[in-house]
Amino acid sequence: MDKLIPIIQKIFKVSAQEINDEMSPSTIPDWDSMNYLIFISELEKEFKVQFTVDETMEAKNLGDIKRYLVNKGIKL
Amino acid sequence: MKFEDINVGYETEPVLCSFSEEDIKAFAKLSGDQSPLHLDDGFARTKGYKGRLAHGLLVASKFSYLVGMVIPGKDSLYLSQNLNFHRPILAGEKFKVKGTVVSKSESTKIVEIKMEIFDSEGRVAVEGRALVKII
Repeated sequence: MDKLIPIIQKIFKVSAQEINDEMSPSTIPDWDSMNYLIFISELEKEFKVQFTVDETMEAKNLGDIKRYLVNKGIKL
Repeated sequence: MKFEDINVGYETEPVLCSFSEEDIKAFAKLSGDQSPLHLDDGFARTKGYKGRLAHGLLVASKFSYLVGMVIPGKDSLYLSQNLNFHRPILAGEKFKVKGTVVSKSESTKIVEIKMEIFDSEGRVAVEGRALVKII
């Protein structure tokens, strides 16, 4: 989570204490559609992975995104 | 440009630009920033400059030109832009603007572009990173 948390904080403007797997557009005001795309783009760059379009469309919360990262071999 | 045609490492041709005193006056009126640093050569000289300075955001507006007209062009939406101002650009000074593609995301269709403006002596005056979505 060392690399993930600063990205989440920077893009969604939340404190480390607010970060949990249930984070989603309905719980985080700054989680809008554009910020979400920027978030995915930043994750791809930081972790050197590629999400599929389906993954980006289907993710409902941070837990889903973390699961995709783990499935791509990323240790969180 | 189409997303598929944008390659990491691609650099735009440097575009030569300048802002006249009239351009700066117009921007001062539009933005409301009527600081004498931008409108009064005498005042600017008292601050150690050779003459009035173009507003930093006016200079950086050339990044909008690059995004909207060059790379990617009309099929794009500006998502974010950070800016660092290193050196001023004077009224009438010739400067160059250039963009370099740093990364692209297939899943989000977002392109990251390193933006740079070079002053008349080739030194970096403004630089930053743009995120642009292909729409």
